[in-house]
Parts: sequence; structure tokens; C-alpha cells
Amino acid sequence: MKRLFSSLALGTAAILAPLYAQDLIKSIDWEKLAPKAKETVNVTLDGSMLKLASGFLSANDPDQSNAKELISGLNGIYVRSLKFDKPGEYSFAEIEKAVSTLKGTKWNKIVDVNGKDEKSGVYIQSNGQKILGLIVVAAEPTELTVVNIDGAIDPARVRELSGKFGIPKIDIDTKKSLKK
Amino acid sequence: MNRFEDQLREAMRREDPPAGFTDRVMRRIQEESRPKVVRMPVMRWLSMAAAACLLLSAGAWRYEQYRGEKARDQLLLALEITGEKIALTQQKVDSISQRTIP
Repeated sequence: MKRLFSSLALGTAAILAPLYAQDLIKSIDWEKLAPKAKETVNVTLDGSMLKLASGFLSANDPDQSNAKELISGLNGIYVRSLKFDKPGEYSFAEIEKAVSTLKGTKWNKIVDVNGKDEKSGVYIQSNGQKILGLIVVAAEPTELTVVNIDGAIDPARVRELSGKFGIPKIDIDTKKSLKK
Repeated sequence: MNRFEDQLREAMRREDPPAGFTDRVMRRIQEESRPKVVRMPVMRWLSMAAAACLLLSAGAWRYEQYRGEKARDQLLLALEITGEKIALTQQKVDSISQRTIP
């Protein structure tokens, strides 16, 4: 019986985890901020889109092959990123307030850097054995990025992929319409 | 001569048309003035339907290719940004540690 309850609790946490993460993205008014940004990135890939994307990753390219393996346990990837011309285009307090909504939830802060005008944090949600979700918040004077990865992922492996695809981050997908 | 005249008169005798003759003539005129339906042979229909199916399938395949390539590009971009931000945060932590721990 005890085991059943703990399984139920873990299952509920796994279901609720992405909800909290999605709430973090939703709690920031991207629609309001997007017009002020010189470049925007809005990536919303749910399970079916990830599956579709996975089919188009090259098996011959080792990095894309790694990416394919990395996303095999994921339910969704959501990225919002804005780059501004000058500092002060978004409210730093608003971001801090949004991030504070993660307190008291199943999200654990594993890295946190707080500066005068910057805030970076990495949060994970785990069941004790594996990571069930990852949130990255990077609030810099002229750039604001929130990443939510829903599903089993190893942050170290994501970091390894950094710079491997040769994607100029800002030149691709500079959509001006950010939807929550 | 009289006999010939009688025969001629008999042949030229005024005779009323049978009942409904006028209606039948008018109906025929109306039918002929109506545009005729051009009937295409079945094979022509089939080949046109096959061509349409082929065109639709090619369009659907191309659209799926486009969606897939777009999703792949978005995925790679998302992983790139995530990796970059994690690395950047780690760098900040490392630089703070170096400054605070002699």
C-alpha cells in the first residue's frame, strides 16, 4: 500500500512538473517584450513535433546522432529568448518574481548565479533516480532566455552539444511574434 | 383532265395536324436550344482523378518534409541555446569559485 502511494505521488509529480515549468514561461509577458527586442527566438516542440524532428536528424552526423539519442526520452522542449539593443528593456524584478514561483515545488535549484543586473539558474525536477525536467533561466542586461525541457535529460550531455551544430543562434528563426 | 384535277385537289386538300402536334414541335425546339452536356469518357475521368491524387500526395509529402526540416532546425537551435546557457552559467559559477576560493 505504501509503495502504491509513493508510486502515485511520483507519477503525480511527473505530471505536474511540466505544468509548473510551462507556468514559468507563461508567467512572463513575452508578447509585451517581443516588440522591444531586436531578435527573438520562440521554439515550441511538443512530443509529436520532437518525434517528427527526430526523423530528420542525420544518423551519419555524430552530433545529430547524439541529439537524436538525447531527445528520445523527452516530451517537449520550449525556448523563449529575446535579445535587446540596450539594457533596461525588461523588468528584472518581473523575472525574479516569475522564477520565485518555482520555490516550494518539485523543482530543485542546482546552479544559481545572482548579480547586480543578471540572474542565471538551472533547475531540475527528479524522481531521485533520473531527471524528469530541466529549466534554464538566463537573464542578462541585453538578453533574456528561458528554456524548459520536459522529460528525462542529462544537462551535462546538453552542454556537450553546445556549439556543435554551428547554428548562429540569433540569425535563425528570428520570429517577431512570440506566443505564450 | 377532270380526273387529274380531282386527284390534285385531293392531294392538296387542307388537313388539320394531329392532336398535340404544336406542343411536340415546341418541345423539340426547346430541347434543341438547351446546351448539350458533354460526356467525357470514363478513362479520361480516371486519369484526371489519378493526376489529382498524385498532385495532392506530392504536395502532402513536400509539406511533411518542410515541417520535419523546420522542426529539426528548431530542435537543434533549442539544444544549442540550452547548451550555451548551461555552459555560460557554469562558467560564471567557476569564475566566482576562483575568486572566492584562493
